[in-house]
Amino acid sequence: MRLPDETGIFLVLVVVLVVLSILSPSFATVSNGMSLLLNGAVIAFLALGQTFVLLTGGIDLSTGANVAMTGVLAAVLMAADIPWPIAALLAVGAGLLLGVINGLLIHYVKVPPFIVTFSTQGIAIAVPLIITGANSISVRQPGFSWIGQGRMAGIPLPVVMLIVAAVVATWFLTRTRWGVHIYASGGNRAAARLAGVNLSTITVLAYAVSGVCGGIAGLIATSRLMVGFPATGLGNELFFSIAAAVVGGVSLFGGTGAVPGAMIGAVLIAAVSNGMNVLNVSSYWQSLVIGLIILLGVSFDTYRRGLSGRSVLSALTSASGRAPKETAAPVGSVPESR
Amino acid sequence: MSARRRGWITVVAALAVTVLAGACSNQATSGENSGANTALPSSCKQSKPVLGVALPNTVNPYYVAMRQSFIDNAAKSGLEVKVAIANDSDSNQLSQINGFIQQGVCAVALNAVNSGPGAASVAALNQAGIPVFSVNVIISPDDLKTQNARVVQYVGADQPEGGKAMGEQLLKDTGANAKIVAGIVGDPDQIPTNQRDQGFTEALRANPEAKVGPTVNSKVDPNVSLQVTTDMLQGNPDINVVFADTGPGTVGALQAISQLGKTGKVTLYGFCAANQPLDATYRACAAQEPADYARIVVENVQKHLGGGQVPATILQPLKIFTSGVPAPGEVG
Repeated sequence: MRLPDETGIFLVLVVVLVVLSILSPSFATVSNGMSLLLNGAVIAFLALGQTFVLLTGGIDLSTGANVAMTGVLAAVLMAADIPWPIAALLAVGAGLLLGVINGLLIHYVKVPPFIVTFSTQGIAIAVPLIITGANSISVRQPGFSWIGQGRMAGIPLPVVMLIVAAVVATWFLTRTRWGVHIYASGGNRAAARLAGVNLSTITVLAYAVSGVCGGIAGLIATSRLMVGFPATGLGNELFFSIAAAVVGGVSLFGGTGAVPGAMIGAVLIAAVSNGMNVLNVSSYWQSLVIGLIILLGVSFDTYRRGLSGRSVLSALTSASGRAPKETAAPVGSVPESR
Repeated sequence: MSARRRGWITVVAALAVTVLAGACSNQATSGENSGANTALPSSCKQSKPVLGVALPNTVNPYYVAMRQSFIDNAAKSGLEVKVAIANDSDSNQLSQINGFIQQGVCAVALNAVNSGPGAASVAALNQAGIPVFSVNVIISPDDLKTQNARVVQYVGADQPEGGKAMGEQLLKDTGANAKIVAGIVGDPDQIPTNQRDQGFTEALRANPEAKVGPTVNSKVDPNVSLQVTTDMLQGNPDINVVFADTGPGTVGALQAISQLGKTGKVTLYGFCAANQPLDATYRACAAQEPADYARIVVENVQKHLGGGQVPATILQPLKIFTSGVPAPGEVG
């Protein structure tokens, strides 16, 4: 029986959680678990969007800046007395627009995703600075706090939103034609085109999803603080979103990976960050530990690609020299759950 | 290759090495120090001399207030201002300083991104004979010495006093022998914030029942502060006081206390957040006045250009708030 690709990283997460729980009784509490997931929600949303983009063989560097732009935009709209639900929708719409622009430029102008999204990152960073003159904007509509601070059956609303989004995204990628086309376009772009995949729609769709996820992340961050801060999302968010997806098995080279893996990656990074703060580990060491985990994850990904689609666990069990029984799918490797 | 040709190549190579060696210079080792030279750049004789202002960023309201004050006060003093924003990058700032040198500015007000690397900017300006006034972030004296560089003046807040004032206010609010377990929401990578933490810690030594616990890194970002304060309070349920050593750190820490349902159990002391009223949880804050520092720098630049003597260091006391809302520009 072949285990899911995410088994390895899931076991790593379990080990990390067990070790942290042993080291600190405060870590293994329901309350801390909720804080951990809540703190990781922004990164996880970004990783979810990044997964769609990475699966097409692209990358979205504008996603952290999208958080800053949409968060400040929502705060500015609310300051102009626009009701918060409409302001929130408009802000997510701005994130969607940024994603669509990314996709259109990448497909039609043929500029590499790295350059396009790096450029739009600069634009998205500048927009809130220009709008606010670099000042933070306080949110005065209490209802808006519901997005980031509300709870549903005791679970923080951002976590509920994330679970719903992850389930829908998994269904979309594994059960719909467009989802299969996303894998195909990242696995072998030329073959996908010859097979009739509409690459323009798929590219724009993937970046649009990333844009929407960035917008929702911006709302969560701003709602938790109730302040639109022009630098929110410009720290480690971009780096961690890519790292979460890659550590979770989404290939930087496209066509391989799945949403559950990226979510496990995001929870792993959130758990390590939370655990080190709970254990009072000096901040000087925290980057080192997270860096090592990411390095291990990427090495794992590279090794796995070298196995031509076989799972790492099966490769380890057949290390005695048995021939591989599985081969890579011709256009992308869609998870077995399909 | 003939022996004669080899000989010529050897002679030319030797000459080239000699010329290159003679052309090498390093301010840090040669003992030159134009900064010690009181002669001003020729650009200062223009009708409207240019003051270069180098700031780390403008996403922190602190620097927004400082930039505006530089512009306003320079206009009053007949100076033209050119502002460079380094986006929190030391290398960006050094490039911008080199840009000021190329533009032939008359003097530079330097708010370094970081205390140590800022010495390289000072050394470059010294070499060009441009006087440097450092503001807010003190340039590491050791690094200045190593690079044989100097600033005309430093203007900034008395950072340890700010932390100490918060510690003393805490003792005043809780009583001299109250049991205190304090966690710090800081930025351990920066000298000024560490000085604030030291001042706070020292003040608490007056109470034998007070203990300063963990320090987390807010990275001067409210969103990061919210996350790390939440983690810290989860991991240390005995913490009953949080000290946030920057304004953005205070914003996030306040939200963390509220969202964890610790209102009434944990109080917050810190450096003032913009537009944030003090209340039963957010008990006191220390405000710097960046606009005031910029005004003082401009006044002293003008005095220096007029040939007057200026003090080497001006440390401004911090303003302490225990109620109300700090005015715009009074931030941590």
